[in-house]
Amino acid sequence: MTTRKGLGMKPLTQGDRQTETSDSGRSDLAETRIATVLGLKQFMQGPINTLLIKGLAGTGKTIVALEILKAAGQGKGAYISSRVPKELLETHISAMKETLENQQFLDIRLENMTSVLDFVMQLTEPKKISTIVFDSWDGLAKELDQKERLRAEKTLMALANNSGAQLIFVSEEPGATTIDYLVDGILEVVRVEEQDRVVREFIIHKLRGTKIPQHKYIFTLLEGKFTFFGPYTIPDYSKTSKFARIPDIGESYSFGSGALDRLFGGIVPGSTLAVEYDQNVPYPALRAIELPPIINFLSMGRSAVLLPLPGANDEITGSILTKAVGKRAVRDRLRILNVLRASDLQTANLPKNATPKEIHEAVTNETIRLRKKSTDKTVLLVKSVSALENLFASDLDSLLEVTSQEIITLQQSHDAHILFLPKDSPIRSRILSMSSSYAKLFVRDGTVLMFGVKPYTGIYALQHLEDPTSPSLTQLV
Amino acid sequence: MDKVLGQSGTAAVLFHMKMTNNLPDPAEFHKKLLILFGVAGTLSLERAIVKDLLIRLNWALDLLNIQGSFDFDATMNKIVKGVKHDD
Repeated sequence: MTTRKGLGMKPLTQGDRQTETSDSGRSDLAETRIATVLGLKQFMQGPINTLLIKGLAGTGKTIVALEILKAAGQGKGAYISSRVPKELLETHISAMKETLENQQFLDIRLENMTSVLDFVMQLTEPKKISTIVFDSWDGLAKELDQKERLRAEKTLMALANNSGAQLIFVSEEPGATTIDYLVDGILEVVRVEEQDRVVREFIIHKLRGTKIPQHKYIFTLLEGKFTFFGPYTIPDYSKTSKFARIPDIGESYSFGSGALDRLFGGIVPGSTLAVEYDQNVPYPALRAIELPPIINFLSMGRSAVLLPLPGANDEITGSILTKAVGKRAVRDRLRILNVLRASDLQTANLPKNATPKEIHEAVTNETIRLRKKSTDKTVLLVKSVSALENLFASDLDSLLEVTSQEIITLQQSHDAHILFLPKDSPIRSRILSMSSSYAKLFVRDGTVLMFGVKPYTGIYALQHLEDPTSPSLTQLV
Repeated sequence: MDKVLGQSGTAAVLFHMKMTNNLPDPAEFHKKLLILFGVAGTLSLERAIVKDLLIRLNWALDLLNIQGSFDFDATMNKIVKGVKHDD
């Protein structure tokens, strides 16, 4: 299966959230705010008076600091800039313009430490200002010798403790400096390369008096805002509702998910998509790629055959599909064939020790049977390579042979084909060479990430924000 | 005070208190320090100021009781009187 962009489809862009929702009317962009989820709410409420945000240039320190400043409330924060004037900062981070307008801005590029400390006293003495950001602190502190710097930092700590104001120091110094030992909390923001794509990560080095359930998080600066991702959470399938079908995109079939359609441009008839996954990708995340196309095919009056992943609970799958498309569609136009289950082999008239060829024949027969029931005679085949590999570990050549035949047959009949492939599969490279498109799923810092290798796409965090069966994809920028 | 707050910190405090020209009145100074640094911070600073003065005057550190909380105004007055007496 080839996936493609075009045909009037917009790629998932920074503007998607404001301008586009999928056909089922849901937004695909996560909005998980640092101050409300991470425990930094506690920072805003008290136990952490002083916080150091460090990282190299361009990692997102200023946006993180501005997010915290924003949470202080209108008129209760101050931004002390030793780097850029207000107008320039507003241009660089236009999404934060309102925050900067709502708070005091002090341009100290030409000031010395005495003036800066006096400014802080003026701000903290009336106890009206609750949060002060120094961006950057080292831009100012580097002008002082070590002892004088430490004393100025101690002065600030004492002023913060007495006034209750929270001081946020932004620093580009990678190593530990004197302030590391004085502050209550240290956050580090980093840019790391993951599969040739840039991923942003923030690391909590310390937060005194605050429980840290996880030390590293993935975040994005999409739309110039800081959005971080908690660990993947399994969706609540009880909230599955009737699915509103998504029509074909030109000549391509829809994935049944606005997010996946925007990413890959739909499923070209006759193509094969290989979805490679790391062993630590949770099954519900794979299900978010596996089920929407099946649901949409059934909703469109078409048919589908599913050879599920090992460990899949067919009852849960059946229940989700029934809720989404109704009992009749599931009964009449879907075949779930679990090759690892004896009862399924029996109903498909397969022996217990069936060969790859026999299973291939059974799948072909099911495809032929269901094709007759499909409104436009097309069928979707979703297949776990892992299940078949487990079954035919000693005869992988035969498995490859029948998979190859299957790809050719489906191509000729304009069907759609999705193969789920474990990263460590011994036949991985052979399968990938036969696939027209290729997506990868893996986990980093508890977040499920996805990107297209063929065609090349950006990298996205996969969540379930509203519909439990459908993925929400947020681009990491 | 600059041994605790540094030269910048001390200058900033004095500037902020508008006490850069003359020697500040200890009681007034104490009040203003309290506003900026609270009880604990003020006590530490005042103890540092008294200690430094005693060292500069070559007086024994145990001459004045500055352990725990102490009256900065009274202590400073004692020092001033002592200096005058020495003269």
